[in-house]
Amino acid sequence: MSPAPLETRNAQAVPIADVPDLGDEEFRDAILTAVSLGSRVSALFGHPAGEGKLRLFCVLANDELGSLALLSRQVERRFMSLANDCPGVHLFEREIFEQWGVEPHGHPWLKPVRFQPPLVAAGARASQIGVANFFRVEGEEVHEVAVGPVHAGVIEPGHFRFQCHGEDVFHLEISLGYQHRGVERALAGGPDKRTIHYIETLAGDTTIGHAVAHCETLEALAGAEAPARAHAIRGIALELERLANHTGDLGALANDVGYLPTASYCGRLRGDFLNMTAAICGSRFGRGLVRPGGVAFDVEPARSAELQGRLARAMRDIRGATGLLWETPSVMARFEETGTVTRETCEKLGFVGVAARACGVGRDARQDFPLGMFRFSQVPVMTWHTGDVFARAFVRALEVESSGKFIDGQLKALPAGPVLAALPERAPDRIVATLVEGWRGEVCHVALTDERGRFSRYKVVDPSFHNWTGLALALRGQQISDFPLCNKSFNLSYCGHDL
Amino acid sequence: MSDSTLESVRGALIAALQGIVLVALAPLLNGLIRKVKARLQRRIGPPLLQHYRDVAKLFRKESIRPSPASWIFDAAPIVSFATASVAAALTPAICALPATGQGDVVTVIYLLALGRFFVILAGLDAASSFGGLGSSRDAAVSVFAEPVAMLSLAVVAAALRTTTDVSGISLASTDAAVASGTSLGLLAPWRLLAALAFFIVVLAECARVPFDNPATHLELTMVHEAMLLEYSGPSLALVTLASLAKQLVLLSIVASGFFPVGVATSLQPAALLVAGAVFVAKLAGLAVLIAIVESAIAKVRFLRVPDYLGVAFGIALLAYVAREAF
Repeated sequence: MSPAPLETRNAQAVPIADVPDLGDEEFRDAILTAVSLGSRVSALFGHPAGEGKLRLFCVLANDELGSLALLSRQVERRFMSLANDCPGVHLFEREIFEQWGVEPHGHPWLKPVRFQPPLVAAGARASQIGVANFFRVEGEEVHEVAVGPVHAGVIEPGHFRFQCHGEDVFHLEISLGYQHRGVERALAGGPDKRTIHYIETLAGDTTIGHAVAHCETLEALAGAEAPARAHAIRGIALELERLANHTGDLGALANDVGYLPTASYCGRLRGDFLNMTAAICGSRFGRGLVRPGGVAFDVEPARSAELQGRLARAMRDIRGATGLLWETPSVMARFEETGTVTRETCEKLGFVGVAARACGVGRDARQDFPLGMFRFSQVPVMTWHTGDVFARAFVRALEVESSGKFIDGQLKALPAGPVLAALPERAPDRIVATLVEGWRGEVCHVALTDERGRFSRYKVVDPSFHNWTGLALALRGQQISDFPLCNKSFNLSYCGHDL
Repeated sequence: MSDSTLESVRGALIAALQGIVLVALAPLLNGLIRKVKARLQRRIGPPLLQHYRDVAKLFRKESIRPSPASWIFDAAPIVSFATASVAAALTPAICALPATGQGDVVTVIYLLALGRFFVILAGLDAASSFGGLGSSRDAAVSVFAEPVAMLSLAVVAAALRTTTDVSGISLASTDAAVASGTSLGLLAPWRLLAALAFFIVVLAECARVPFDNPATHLELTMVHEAMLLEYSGPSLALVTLASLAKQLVLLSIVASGFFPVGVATSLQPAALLVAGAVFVAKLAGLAVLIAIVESAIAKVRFLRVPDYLGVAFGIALLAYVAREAF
């Protein structure tokens, strides 16, 4: 019998030596079997194993069981691609190819992900960004529309190519990498003074999400736990981040269809939610709040009362603002049946977060892999079944409601005690995978420590990495003029993807 | 010089003067729409005169020409501005006088169509994918909008027994008819319906919500703006002025053509003054109406534009039936 993957839990450090090292077929079979039984690939990445070999680590997440499984295998120049049988890994395999020059043999569409220089040798040159094979539809009446990387609005850079027939889109290919900063390379050898700041700016709008994932990872490595009060404040901050971003997205969706009342209401309300985070830590995006061992700022009773009042007012207004959307036929005509992603596609490609829940998949790390305060205070998973722009908007509105309730509950019953604990030394030669439900979806951090307890590899998977393909597929058969609306309904991060 | 020659020279002068005044006022009208829209959202909004500043700024900048463009790209701003200006001169806005050539709406509509034709060509000429998209969309919108415009105007002309020949519609006659017979009520159903149909066309022709979003920066959803993306400097100023003037001209037709109350029929200074004040008030009312429409509904999915204009066509037909019935 072949060795089984190592079963583990969210944010649990295990010795790297315990992770089974499988052969080519075993590795493949183990992943495909797990996926057929309901797991999905949360992370798949390479780490040099010496002697010119690369060790591939795979993190499998089973939402039903709430368990993680780790497995690995060593490869030299190439390995058999899994992408044809398990499409969810296609981008991971392209990433491995780009970072380490190891070829996933038989990959259906092998090309750069971020146009980053290989991690193998220092000083290696990157391929020229944006220069790659793009899928093309040939024919007299087919035309290609290329947008970006420079856009008319103040947004992040990305390149989009549409194969169109009049207004209809046959295919969209998205080419990113313009925001690549080399964060994973910079994190290796840490943690040091800079680490937390790199983490907080992995994706600026998911500061809390990434910071919580990072701190849980460090705490797992140190075998310690943050104080209960810190967990509660982290939970509040995480949900405030969700509130601010969901509100902003609902407003932006309204703005994209030219519906001004909700757009302007939500613009103001997003600011109110951001200011509530600022009232806790002085930064609207929550920079400097979450720290290894707890949080850097307490929420005193007076501040808590103030926040409760502000929250109640903001929640009342947001109900009115989003209610307008569902009551306005011209808005619903734009939202419904636009950019539909089927549940099958979602499950095959392993989308996460709002995009998955809008396809009727009840996938939420707060429920499936609870950490911190979410072990004690559950947030209901909000889903909708239609998979269109409306579903993604409606799930956001539902989550706004439940996040508001969660924050209110936490503020009313903050555990007593300190908010920051000193962390002991980190254990050497460990691996830990941490999943946190950021506002966009599952944030996955995987840390490997060396013999001194320092990061030998720190892998970050932003939810956007899973979901960009979803946007491309949502556009098939749509009108090209609906792209901005579909794009906004996913609202994916460029820098979170590009790292 | 005979009296009739003198009369027509004077008429031409008046028309030219009106054209200049209308073109000069066009940016202010749009400034008002933007201001009201902003106030409805409790924003302060850009100053009323912002368009003038923008245009002045653009005239001081250089024009950049995309390399694949031909003479059409250079000609389009001039043609569209010229046609819009002439249309502004010919529109019965403040005064409607017979025998000057002023007041023929068919001329006005097709002058604007000529300008649009050149802008559509220019969108293709610049050879960018957005320009092509914008041109094809704009052409599609105009195909559906134009019949509605003509039909709703024909209803008014027929109602006033001026002529059954559409090309002969003269709003001067409209006004004369209204002035002579009080039976033609301003709030008659046929008139309101025809005006509503034409107003929907105005929204489509002026690239406003629900047909286009004048405030968007998203290239892929634009209709009108997409054709202008390659323009810069003075040529952008000209096409911008042209579309603002076109908007004012079409709204003038609503204000003075469908509801010709207060339009001066002589050149008495006092009558002109009153007519001017009434005209400005009517336009301001229309600007507020547009702002409210834009604040209350979302932009329609592009391929459903024909449905909306189809409804407008239905309304125009209904207006015709209503005129026969009442």
